[in-house]
Amino acid sequence: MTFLNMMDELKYQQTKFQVNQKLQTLISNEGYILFEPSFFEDYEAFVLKNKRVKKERMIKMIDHDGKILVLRPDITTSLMRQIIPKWQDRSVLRIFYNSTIFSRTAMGQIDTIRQFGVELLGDGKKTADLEVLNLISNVFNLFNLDYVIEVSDTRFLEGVMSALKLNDQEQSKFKDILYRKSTYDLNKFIETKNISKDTTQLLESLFSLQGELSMIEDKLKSFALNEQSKLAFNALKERINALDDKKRYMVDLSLVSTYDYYDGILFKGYLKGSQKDVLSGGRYDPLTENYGKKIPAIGFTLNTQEVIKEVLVYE
Amino acid sequence: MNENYLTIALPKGRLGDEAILKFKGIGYGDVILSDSRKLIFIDDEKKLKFMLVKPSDVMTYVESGVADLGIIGSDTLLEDEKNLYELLPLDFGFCTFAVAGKKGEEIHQRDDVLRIATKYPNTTKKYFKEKNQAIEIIKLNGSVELAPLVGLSDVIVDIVETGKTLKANGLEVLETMMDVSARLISNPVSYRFKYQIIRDLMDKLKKVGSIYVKNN
Repeated sequence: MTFLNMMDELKYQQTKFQVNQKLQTLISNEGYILFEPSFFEDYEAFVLKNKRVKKERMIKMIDHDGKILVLRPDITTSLMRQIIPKWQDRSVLRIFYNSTIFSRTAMGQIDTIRQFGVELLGDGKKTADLEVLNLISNVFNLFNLDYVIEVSDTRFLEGVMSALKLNDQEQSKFKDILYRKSTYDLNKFIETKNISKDTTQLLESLFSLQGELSMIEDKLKSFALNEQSKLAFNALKERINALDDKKRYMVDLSLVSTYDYYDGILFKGYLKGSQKDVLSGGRYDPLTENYGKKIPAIGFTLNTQEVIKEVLVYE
Repeated sequence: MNENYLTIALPKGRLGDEAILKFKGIGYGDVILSDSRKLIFIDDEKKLKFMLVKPSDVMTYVESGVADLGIIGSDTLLEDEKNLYELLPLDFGFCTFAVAGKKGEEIHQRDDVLRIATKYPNTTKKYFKEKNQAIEIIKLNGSVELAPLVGLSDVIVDIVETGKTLKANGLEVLETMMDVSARLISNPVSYRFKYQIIRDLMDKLKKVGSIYVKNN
Protein backbone atom coordinates (compact mmCIF):
# COMPACT_ATOMS: atom_id res chain seq x y z
CA MET A 1 0.00 0.00 0.00
CA THR A 2 1.33 3.40 -0.87
CA PHE A 3 0.23 6.54 0.82
CA LEU A 4 0.06 10.04 -0.52
CA ASN A 5 3.57 11.30 -1.12
CA MET A 6 4.80 14.86 -1.05
CA MET A 7 4.04 15.55 -4.70
CA ASP A 8 0.50 14.12 -4.42
CA GLU A 9 -0.14 16.35 -1.46
CA LEU A 10 1.06 19.38 -3.40
CA LYS A 11 -1.06 18.42 -6.37
CA TYR A 12 -4.09 18.35 -4.11
CA GLN A 13 -3.19 21.75 -2.69
CA GLN A 14 -2.75 23.06 -6.21
CA THR A 15 -6.19 21.81 -7.33
CA LYS A 16 -7.72 23.36 -4.24
CA PHE A 17 -6.06 26.66 -5.04
CA GLN A 18 -7.20 26.54 -8.68
CA VAL A 19 -10.80 25.71 -7.79
CA ASN A 20 -10.91 28.61 -5.34
CA GLN A 21 -9.28 30.95 -7.76
CA LYS A 22 -11.60 30.04 -10.64
CA LEU A 23 -14.63 30.50 -8.41
CA GLN A 24 -13.47 33.85 -7.11
CA THR A 25 -12.55 35.14 -10.56
CA LEU A 26 -15.92 34.13 -12.00
CA ILE A 27 -17.86 35.74 -9.22
CA SER A 28 -15.87 38.95 -8.95
CA ASN A 29 -16.17 39.39 -12.72
CA GLU A 30 -19.92 39.39 -12.13
CA GLY A 31 -19.48 42.38 -9.83
CA TYR A 32 -19.53 40.62 -6.45
CA ILE A 33 -17.30 41.89 -3.63
CA LEU A 34 -15.42 39.60 -1.22
CA PHE A 35 -16.57 39.68 2.39
CA GLU A 36 -14.29 38.40 5.18
CA PRO A 37 -16.46 37.22 8.09
CA SER A 38 -15.30 37.64 11.67
CA PHE A 39 -13.98 34.53 13.41
CA PHE A 40 -16.14 34.83 16.50
CA GLU A 41 -19.78 35.43 17.20
CA ASP A 42 -21.27 36.36 20.53
CA TYR A 43 -22.84 33.15 21.80
CA GLU A 44 -25.95 34.63 23.37
CA ALA A 45 -26.74 36.97 20.49
CA PHE A 46 -26.24 34.14 18.01
CA VAL A 47 -28.53 31.73 19.82
CA LEU A 48 -31.20 34.41 20.16
CA LYS A 49 -31.26 35.04 16.43
CA ASN A 50 -30.83 31.43 15.30
CA LYS A 51 -33.28 29.51 17.42
CA ARG A 52 -33.18 26.23 15.53
CA VAL A 53 -29.40 25.88 15.42
CA LYS A 54 -28.21 23.10 17.71
CA LYS A 55 -26.36 24.66 20.64
CA GLU A 56 -24.36 21.54 21.40
CA ARG A 57 -22.88 21.64 17.90
CA MET A 58 -21.18 25.01 18.36
CA ILE A 59 -17.54 25.43 19.33
CA LYS A 60 -17.52 27.69 22.38
CA MET A 61 -14.70 29.78 23.79
CA ILE A 62 -14.44 32.10 26.74
CA ASP A 63 -12.98 35.59 26.45
CA HIS A 64 -10.94 37.37 29.15
CA ASP A 65 -14.07 39.01 30.57
CA GLY A 66 -16.01 35.77 30.83
CA LYS A 67 -18.06 36.38 27.71
CA ILE A 68 -18.89 33.24 25.74
CA LEU A 69 -17.94 33.31 22.08
CA VAL A 70 -18.52 30.77 19.32
CA LEU A 71 -16.25 30.02 16.40
CA ARG A 72 -18.39 31.10 13.46
CA PRO A 73 -21.00 28.38 12.87
CA ASP A 74 -22.19 30.15 9.74
CA ILE A 75 -21.24 33.11 7.60
CA THR A 76 -24.57 34.68 6.67
CA THR A 77 -25.13 35.67 10.32
CA SER A 78 -21.81 37.48 10.49
CA LEU A 79 -22.62 39.21 7.22
CA MET A 80 -26.09 40.29 8.35
CA ARG A 81 -24.77 41.55 11.68
CA GLN A 82 -22.15 43.72 10.02
CA ILE A 83 -24.09 44.98 7.02
CA ILE A 84 -27.78 45.36 7.79
CA PRO A 85 -27.42 47.93 10.61
CA LYS A 86 -25.45 50.15 8.22
CA TRP A 87 -27.94 49.68 5.40
CA GLN A 88 -28.50 52.65 3.07
CA ASP A 89 -31.82 52.79 1.27
CA ARG A 90 -32.08 51.90 -2.39
CA SER A 91 -28.69 50.24 -2.52
CA VAL A 92 -28.02 46.90 -4.17
CA LEU A 93 -25.13 44.85 -2.80
CA ARG A 94 -23.43 41.89 -4.40
CA ILE A 95 -21.29 40.03 -1.90
CA PHE A 96 -19.43 36.73 -1.84
CA TYR A 97 -17.39 34.88 0.76
CA ASN A 98 -15.03 31.95 0.76
CA SER A 99 -14.25 30.90 4.32
CA THR A 100 -14.36 28.09 6.84
CA ILE A 101 -17.14 27.41 9.31
CA PHE A 102 -16.82 25.32 12.46
CA SER A 103 -19.11 22.82 14.10
CA ARG A 104 -19.01 19.81 16.38
CA THR A 105 -19.95 16.45 14.88
CA ALA A 106 -22.37 14.06 16.57
CA MET A 107 -19.27 12.19 17.79
CA GLY A 108 -17.94 15.34 19.41
CA GLN A 109 -15.07 16.14 17.07
CA ILE A 110 -14.50 19.61 15.68
CA ASP A 111 -15.43 19.77 12.03
CA THR A 112 -14.36 22.42 9.55
CA ILE A 113 -16.36 23.06 6.40
CA ARG A 114 -15.23 25.25 3.56
CA GLN A 115 -18.05 27.44 2.29
CA PHE A 116 -18.24 29.56 -0.78
CA GLY A 117 -21.32 31.73 -0.93
CA VAL A 118 -23.03 34.50 -2.76
CA GLU A 119 -25.57 37.05 -1.47
CA LEU A 120 -27.52 39.56 -3.51
CA LEU A 121 -29.05 42.17 -1.19
CA GLY A 122 -31.46 45.01 -1.92
CA ASP A 123 -33.11 43.56 -5.03
CA GLY A 124 -36.38 41.69 -4.70
CA LYS A 125 -37.22 41.42 -8.35
CA LYS A 126 -37.54 38.28 -10.44
CA THR A 127 -34.37 39.26 -12.28
CA ALA A 128 -32.43 39.01 -9.02
CA ASP A 129 -33.65 35.42 -8.53
CA LEU A 130 -32.64 34.60 -12.09
CA GLU A 131 -29.23 36.20 -11.68
CA VAL A 132 -28.44 34.01 -8.68
CA LEU A 133 -29.84 30.83 -10.27
CA ASN A 134 -27.87 31.38 -13.45
CA LEU A 135 -24.75 32.01 -11.38
CA ILE A 136 -25.16 28.53 -9.89
CA SER A 137 -25.15 27.00 -13.37
CA ASN A 138 -22.08 29.03 -14.28
CA VAL A 139 -20.27 27.83 -11.17
CA PHE A 140 -20.90 24.15 -11.93
CA ASN A 141 -20.21 24.56 -15.64
CA LEU A 142 -16.86 26.10 -14.76
CA PHE A 143 -15.68 22.63 -13.71
CA ASN A 144 -17.81 20.61 -16.14
CA LEU A 145 -19.61 18.94 -13.28
CA ASP A 146 -22.77 16.88 -13.65
CA TYR A 147 -25.29 18.56 -11.36
CA VAL A 148 -28.98 18.80 -10.56
CA ILE A 149 -30.70 21.62 -8.71
CA GLU A 150 -33.95 20.95 -6.86
CA VAL A 151 -36.17 24.01 -6.70
CA SER A 152 -39.37 25.01 -5.02
CA ASP A 153 -41.07 28.10 -3.72
CA THR A 154 -41.66 28.08 0.04
CA ARG A 155 -44.99 29.84 -0.48
CA PHE A 156 -46.38 26.69 -2.12
CA LEU A 157 -46.15 24.74 1.14
CA GLU A 158 -47.15 27.83 3.14
CA GLY A 159 -50.35 27.76 1.08
CA VAL A 160 -50.88 24.08 1.84
CA MET A 161 -50.21 24.66 5.53
CA SER A 162 -52.58 27.61 5.74
CA ALA A 163 -55.33 25.37 4.35
CA LEU A 164 -54.51 22.90 7.12
CA LYS A 165 -54.63 25.60 9.82
CA LEU A 166 -51.55 24.30 11.63
CA ASN A 167 -50.12 25.94 14.73
CA ASP A 168 -46.36 26.63 15.00
CA GLN A 169 -45.55 23.32 16.60
CA GLU A 170 -47.55 21.36 14.02
CA GLN A 171 -45.95 23.33 11.20
CA SER A 172 -42.51 22.40 12.37
CA LYS A 173 -43.57 18.76 12.74
CA PHE A 174 -45.07 18.82 9.24
CA LYS A 175 -41.88 20.28 7.77
CA ASP A 176 -39.79 17.69 9.55
CA ILE A 177 -41.90 14.90 7.99
CA LEU A 178 -41.38 16.41 4.53
CA TYR A 179 -37.66 16.83 5.20
CA ARG A 180 -37.37 13.08 5.78
CA LYS A 181 -39.86 12.30 2.99
CA SER A 182 -41.53 9.89 5.37
CA THR A 183 -44.67 8.49 3.75
CA TYR A 184 -45.59 6.70 6.95
CA ASP A 185 -45.44 9.78 9.17
CA LEU A 186 -47.19 11.94 6.58
CA ASN A 187 -50.12 9.55 6.33
CA LYS A 188 -50.31 9.25 10.07
CA PHE A 189 -50.36 13.04 10.24
CA ILE A 190 -53.21 13.19 7.73
CA GLU A 191 -55.18 10.67 9.80
CA THR A 192 -54.88 12.63 13.02
CA LYS A 193 -55.99 15.91 11.44
CA ASN A 194 -59.43 16.55 10.11
CA ILE A 195 -58.52 17.41 6.54
CA SER A 196 -60.79 17.97 3.55
CA LYS A 197 -60.79 15.40 0.78
CA ASP A 198 -59.15 17.73 -1.73
CA THR A 199 -56.28 18.55 0.56
CA THR A 200 -55.84 14.92 1.58
CA GLN A 201 -55.41 13.97 -2.06
CA LEU A 202 -52.83 16.69 -2.54
CA LEU A 203 -50.90 15.65 0.58
CA GLU A 204 -50.89 12.00 -0.42
CA SER A 205 -49.33 12.91 -3.75
CA LEU A 206 -46.92 15.50 -2.36
CA PHE A 207 -43.81 13.31 -2.60
CA SER A 208 -44.50 12.49 -6.22
CA LEU A 209 -44.81 16.18 -7.14
CA GLN A 210 -41.25 16.29 -8.30
CA GLY A 211 -39.46 16.13 -11.60
CA GLU A 212 -39.54 18.24 -14.72
CA LEU A 213 -41.59 21.40 -14.62
CA SER A 214 -44.00 20.46 -17.43
CA MET A 215 -44.78 17.13 -15.78
CA ILE A 216 -45.51 18.77 -12.42
CA GLU A 217 -47.72 21.32 -14.13
CA ASP A 218 -49.79 18.50 -15.65
CA LYS A 219 -50.04 16.69 -12.33
CA LEU A 220 -51.15 19.81 -10.48
CA LYS A 221 -54.16 20.19 -12.76
CA SER A 222 -55.94 17.43 -10.87
CA PHE A 223 -55.69 19.23 -7.51
CA ALA A 224 -57.63 22.14 -6.11
CA LEU A 225 -54.91 24.53 -4.96
CA ASN A 226 -55.54 27.68 -3.00
CA GLU A 227 -54.49 31.10 -4.33
CA GLN A 228 -51.24 31.21 -2.37
CA SER A 229 -50.02 27.86 -3.69
CA LYS A 230 -51.11 28.73 -7.23
CA LEU A 231 -49.23 32.03 -7.15
CA ALA A 232 -46.15 30.32 -5.76
CA PHE A 233 -46.16 27.70 -8.48
CA ASN A 234 -46.62 30.29 -11.20
CA ALA A 235 -43.71 32.32 -9.83
CA LEU A 236 -41.58 29.18 -9.87
CA LYS A 237 -42.63 28.35 -13.41
CA GLU A 238 -41.83 31.84 -14.69
CA ARG A 239 -38.37 31.63 -13.20
CA ILE A 240 -37.47 28.16 -14.42
CA ASN A 241 -38.65 28.96 -17.94
CA ALA A 242 -36.39 32.01 -18.04
CA LEU A 243 -33.25 30.13 -16.97
CA ASP A 244 -30.25 29.55 -19.24
CA ASP A 245 -29.80 25.91 -18.32
CA LYS A 246 -33.30 24.89 -17.30
CA LYS A 247 -32.99 21.16 -17.88
CA ARG A 248 -30.72 21.01 -14.81
CA TYR A 249 -33.54 22.24 -12.60
CA MET A 250 -35.95 19.75 -11.08
CA VAL A 251 -39.04 20.88 -9.24
CA ASP A 252 -39.60 19.31 -5.83
CA LEU A 253 -42.68 20.79 -4.22
CA SER A 254 -42.03 18.99 -0.94
CA LEU A 255 -38.60 20.60 -0.59
CA VAL A 256 -37.99 22.14 2.84
CA SER A 257 -34.91 23.69 4.37
CA THR A 258 -33.46 23.20 7.85
CA TYR A 259 -33.85 26.95 8.26
CA ASP A 260 -37.20 28.71 8.61
CA TYR A 261 -36.15 32.08 7.28
CA TYR A 262 -36.62 31.34 3.57
CA ASP A 263 -39.55 33.03 1.88
CA GLY A 264 -39.84 32.54 -1.87
CA ILE A 265 -37.61 30.51 -4.11
CA LEU A 266 -35.72 27.70 -2.39
CA PHE A 267 -33.11 25.36 -3.86
CA LYS A 268 -30.70 22.53 -3.12
CA GLY A 269 -27.94 21.28 -5.42
CA TYR A 270 -26.46 17.84 -5.94
CA LEU A 271 -23.38 16.65 -7.80
CA LYS A 272 -23.27 13.25 -9.38
CA GLY A 273 -20.83 11.19 -7.35
CA SER A 274 -20.91 13.30 -4.23
CA GLN A 275 -22.87 11.88 -1.32
CA LYS A 276 -24.08 15.12 0.24
CA ASP A 277 -26.10 18.01 -1.02
CA VAL A 278 -23.36 20.43 -2.03
CA LEU A 279 -25.36 23.59 -2.46
CA SER A 280 -28.33 25.21 -0.77
CA GLY A 281 -29.98 28.59 -0.75
CA GLY A 282 -32.97 30.71 -1.55
CA ARG A 283 -34.69 34.00 -0.91
CA TYR A 284 -34.45 34.96 2.75
CA ASP A 285 -35.83 38.48 3.22
CA PRO A 286 -37.29 37.62 6.69
CA LEU A 287 -33.81 36.91 8.09
CA THR A 288 -32.61 40.47 7.48
CA GLU A 289 -35.52 41.69 9.60
CA ASN A 290 -33.88 40.02 12.61
CA TYR A 291 -31.03 42.48 12.22
CA GLY A 292 -33.15 45.60 12.17
CA LYS A 293 -34.47 46.10 8.69
CA LYS A 294 -36.31 44.01 6.12
CA ILE A 295 -34.26 44.00 2.95
CA PRO A 296 -34.75 41.80 -0.10
CA ALA A 297 -32.07 39.11 0.01
CA ILE A 298 -31.21 35.97 -1.93
CA GLY A 299 -28.12 33.80 -1.89
CA PHE A 300 -26.55 30.37 -1.92
CA THR A 301 -23.80 28.44 -0.17
CA LEU A 302 -21.57 25.89 -1.84
CA ASN A 303 -19.49 23.26 -0.07
CA THR A 304 -16.18 23.67 -1.91
CA GLN A 305 -14.54 20.63 -0.30
CA GLU A 306 -17.08 18.44 -2.09
CA VAL A 307 -16.52 20.31 -5.34
CA ILE A 308 -12.74 19.82 -5.11
CA LYS A 309 -13.25 16.11 -4.47
CA GLU A 310 -15.34 15.82 -7.63
CA VAL A 311 -12.96 17.95 -9.69
CA LEU A 312 -10.16 15.55 -8.73
CA VAL A 313 -12.30 12.55 -9.71
CA TYR A 314 -13.26 14.04 -13.07
CA GLU A 315 -9.60 14.72 -13.83
CA MET B 1 -22.84 5.05 -5.57
CA ASN B 2 -22.49 2.97 -8.66
CA GLU B 3 -23.65 4.66 -11.84
CA ASN B 4 -25.63 1.84 -13.39
CA TYR B 5 -26.54 -0.45 -10.54
CA LEU B 6 -29.11 0.02 -7.85
CA THR B 7 -27.48 -1.09 -4.60
CA ILE B 8 -29.67 -2.23 -1.72
CA ALA B 9 -28.45 -2.88 1.82
CA LEU B 10 -30.43 -5.59 3.61
CA PRO B 11 -30.19 -6.38 7.32
CA LYS B 12 -29.05 -9.87 8.21
CA GLY B 13 -31.53 -11.81 10.32
CA ARG B 14 -35.27 -12.08 10.48
CA LEU B 15 -36.09 -8.65 9.11
CA GLY B 16 -33.73 -9.23 6.19
CA ASP B 17 -35.21 -12.66 5.45
CA GLU B 18 -38.64 -11.11 5.14
CA ALA B 19 -37.22 -8.35 2.97
CA ILE B 20 -35.62 -10.92 0.66
CA LEU B 21 -39.00 -12.67 0.33
CA LYS B 22 -40.56 -9.32 -0.63
CA PHE B 23 -37.92 -8.67 -3.25
CA LYS B 24 -38.27 -12.19 -4.62
CA GLY B 25 -42.01 -11.55 -4.79
CA ILE B 26 -41.46 -8.73 -7.26
CA GLY B 27 -38.84 -10.73 -9.17
CA TYR B 28 -35.88 -8.73 -7.86
CA GLY B 29 -34.07 -11.01 -5.46
CA ASP B 30 -33.42 -14.24 -7.35
CA VAL B 31 -29.66 -13.84 -7.06
CA ILE B 32 -29.75 -13.95 -3.27
CA LEU B 33 -28.84 -17.38 -1.94
CA SER B 34 -29.94 -17.44 1.65
CA ASP B 35 -27.73 -20.35 2.71
CA SER B 36 -24.62 -18.81 1.24
CA ARG B 37 -21.98 -17.01 3.26
CA LYS B 38 -21.50 -14.41 0.60
CA LEU B 39 -22.24 -10.85 1.63
CA ILE B 40 -22.89 -9.37 -1.78
CA PHE B 41 -25.10 -10.63 -4.60
CA ILE B 42 -25.08 -9.09 -8.05
CA ASP B 43 -27.81 -9.33 -10.67
CA ASP B 44 -26.17 -8.15 -13.88
CA GLU B 45 -29.32 -8.56 -15.91
CA LYS B 46 -31.53 -6.39 -13.71
CA LYS B 47 -28.61 -4.17 -12.66
CA LEU B 48 -29.08 -4.80 -8.97
CA LYS B 49 -26.70 -5.34 -6.08
CA PHE B 50 -27.74 -6.66 -2.70
CA MET B 51 -25.51 -6.32 0.34
CA LEU B 52 -26.13 -8.18 3.57
CA VAL B 53 -25.04 -6.16 6.59
CA LYS B 54 -25.64 -6.01 10.32
CA PRO B 55 -29.05 -4.35 10.95
CA SER B 56 -27.52 -1.47 12.91
CA ASP B 57 -25.13 -0.77 10.03
CA VAL B 58 -27.75 -0.45 7.26
CA MET B 59 -28.15 3.28 7.85
CA THR B 60 -24.39 3.84 7.73
CA TYR B 61 -24.16 2.16 4.32
CA VAL B 62 -27.10 4.14 2.96
CA GLU B 63 -26.06 7.48 4.42
CA SER B 64 -22.58 7.17 2.95
CA GLY B 65 -24.13 6.34 -0.42
CA VAL B 66 -22.36 2.98 -0.77
CA ALA B 67 -25.91 1.66 -0.90
CA ASP B 68 -28.69 3.61 -2.60
CA LEU B 69 -31.49 1.97 -0.66
CA GLY B 70 -31.86 -0.03 2.52
CA ILE B 71 -34.42 -1.89 4.58
CA ILE B 72 -34.55 -1.11 8.26
CA GLY B 73 -36.94 -1.22 11.22
CA SER B 74 -38.41 2.12 12.19
CA ASP B 75 -37.02 1.59 15.71
CA THR B 76 -33.47 1.99 14.38
CA LEU B 77 -34.50 5.02 12.34
CA LEU B 78 -35.91 6.75 15.41
CA GLU B 79 -32.81 6.08 17.46
CA ASP B 80 -30.22 7.65 15.18
CA GLU B 81 -30.86 10.89 13.39
CA LYS B 82 -29.36 10.58 9.94
CA ASN B 83 -29.83 12.43 6.72
CA LEU B 84 -31.98 9.88 4.91
CA TYR B 85 -35.33 9.64 3.16
CA GLU B 86 -37.85 7.27 4.71
CA LEU B 87 -39.55 6.45 1.46
CA LEU B 88 -41.89 3.57 2.07
CA PRO B 89 -43.40 1.75 5.04
CA LEU B 90 -43.50 -2.00 4.42
CA ASP B 91 -45.85 -4.63 5.71
CA PHE B 92 -43.49 -6.68 7.83
CA GLY B 93 -41.27 -6.36 10.86
CA PHE B 94 -44.22 -5.36 13.02
CA CYS B 95 -43.64 -4.86 16.70
CA THR B 96 -44.09 -2.15 19.31
CA PHE B 97 -41.84 0.05 21.36
CA ALA B 98 -42.84 -0.44 24.96
CA VAL B 99 -41.97 0.25 28.56
CA ALA B 100 -41.92 -3.00 30.52
CA GLY B 101 -41.40 -3.87 34.16
CA LYS B 102 -41.89 -6.61 36.71
CA LYS B 103 -45.32 -8.13 36.55
CA GLY B 104 -47.79 -7.03 39.16
CA GLU B 105 -45.28 -4.94 41.02
CA GLU B 106 -45.67 -1.27 41.61
CA ILE B 107 -42.69 0.59 40.21
CA HIS B 108 -40.72 1.37 43.27
CA GLN B 109 -38.82 4.60 43.13
CA ARG B 110 -36.31 5.49 45.73
CA ASP B 111 -36.20 9.01 44.35
CA ASP B 112 -38.16 10.65 41.57
CA VAL B 113 -35.72 9.53 38.90
CA LEU B 114 -36.89 6.50 36.95
CA ARG B 115 -34.06 4.14 36.04
CA ILE B 116 -34.47 2.68 32.56
CA ALA B 117 -32.37 0.02 30.91
CA THR B 118 -32.46 0.09 27.11
CA LYS B 119 -30.68 -0.38 23.82
CA TYR B 120 -32.39 2.79 22.62
CA PRO B 121 -31.17 5.71 24.77
CA ASN B 122 -32.15 8.51 22.34
CA THR B 123 -35.71 7.32 21.71
CA THR B 124 -36.16 6.75 25.44
CA LYS B 125 -34.84 10.21 26.33
CA LYS B 126 -37.12 11.88 23.80
CA TYR B 127 -40.20 9.96 24.91
CA PHE B 128 -39.81 10.71 28.60
CA LYS B 129 -38.83 14.32 28.01
CA GLU B 130 -42.23 14.87 26.42
CA LYS B 131 -43.79 13.30 29.52
CA ASN B 132 -41.67 15.45 31.80
CA GLN B 133 -40.42 12.42 33.70
CA ALA B 134 -36.87 12.56 35.07
CA ILE B 135 -34.97 9.44 34.05
CA GLU B 136 -31.61 7.80 34.28
CA ILE B 137 -30.62 5.73 31.29
CA ILE B 138 -28.66 2.55 31.60
CA LYS B 139 -27.45 1.67 28.12
CA LEU B 140 -27.27 -2.05 27.49
CA ASN B 141 -26.43 -3.97 24.34
CA GLY B 142 -28.61 -7.02 24.89
CA SER B 143 -30.57 -9.14 27.40
CA VAL B 144 -32.25 -5.98 28.57
CA GLU B 145 -34.96 -8.02 30.33
CA LEU B 146 -32.47 -8.99 32.99
CA ALA B 147 -31.99 -5.44 34.28
CA PRO B 148 -35.17 -5.03 36.38
CA LEU B 149 -34.85 -8.57 37.70
CA VAL B 150 -31.46 -7.96 39.23
CA GLY B 151 -32.16 -4.39 40.30
CA LEU B 152 -30.06 -2.66 37.67
CA SER B 153 -33.10 -0.63 36.59
CA ASP B 154 -36.74 0.02 37.50
CA VAL B 155 -38.07 -0.64 34.01
CA ILE B 156 -36.88 -1.34 30.47
CA VAL B 157 -37.64 0.22 27.11
CA ASP B 158 -37.41 -2.23 24.24
CA ILE B 159 -39.19 -3.46 21.16
CA VAL B 160 -41.71 -6.19 21.85
CA GLU B 161 -42.77 -8.60 19.16
CA THR B 162 -44.64 -11.49 20.75
CA GLY B 163 -43.99 -10.69 24.39
CA LYS B 164 -42.67 -14.21 24.99
CA THR B 165 -39.28 -13.10 26.28
CA LEU B 166 -40.96 -10.68 28.65
CA LYS B 167 -43.31 -13.36 29.94
CA ALA B 168 -40.55 -15.91 30.38
CA ASN B 169 -38.76 -13.41 32.60
CA GLY B 170 -41.78 -12.35 34.63
CA LEU B 171 -42.11 -8.96 32.99
CA GLU B 172 -45.10 -7.25 31.38
CA VAL B 173 -45.74 -4.29 29.15
CA LEU B 174 -46.56 -1.25 31.28
CA GLU B 175 -47.02 1.21 28.46
CA THR B 176 -47.01 1.00 24.67
CA MET B 177 -44.96 3.79 23.17
CA MET B 178 -45.36 3.40 19.42
CA ASP B 179 -45.70 0.96 16.56
CA VAL B 180 -42.66 -0.25 14.68
CA SER B 181 -42.43 -1.69 11.17
CA ALA B 182 -39.97 -2.08 8.32
CA ARG B 183 -39.12 0.88 6.09
CA LEU B 184 -37.48 1.37 2.76
CA ILE B 185 -34.89 4.12 3.15
CA SER B 186 -32.92 6.00 0.53
CA ASN B 187 -29.82 8.10 0.21
CA PRO B 188 -30.98 11.62 -0.82
CA VAL B 189 -28.43 11.97 -3.65
CA SER B 190 -29.30 8.53 -5.04
CA TYR B 191 -32.96 9.47 -4.84
CA ARG B 192 -32.26 12.51 -7.00
CA PHE B 193 -30.10 10.81 -9.62
CA LYS B 194 -31.87 7.43 -9.74
CA TYR B 195 -35.37 8.77 -9.12
CA GLN B 196 -37.13 6.80 -11.83
CA ILE B 197 -35.71 3.36 -11.02
CA ILE B 198 -36.29 3.91 -7.31
CA ARG B 199 -39.85 5.03 -7.98
CA ASP B 200 -40.49 1.93 -10.15
CA LEU B 201 -39.18 -0.30 -7.39
CA MET B 202 -41.42 1.48 -4.88
CA ASP B 203 -44.48 0.99 -7.07
CA LYS B 204 -43.75 -2.72 -7.34
CA LEU B 205 -43.19 -3.06 -3.60
CA LYS B 206 -46.42 -1.20 -2.94
CA LYS B 207 -48.32 -3.77 -4.98
CA VAL B 208 -47.05 -6.74 -3.00
CA GLY B 209 -47.50 -5.06 0.34
CA SER B 210 -46.89 -1.71 1.82
CA ILE B 211 -48.74 -0.15 4.69
CA TYR B 212 -49.49 3.41 5.37
CA VAL B 213 -50.78 3.18 8.85
CA LYS B 214 -51.01 -0.07 10.70
CA ASN B 215 -54.58 -0.75 11.73
CA ASN B 216 -55.02 -1.98 15.24
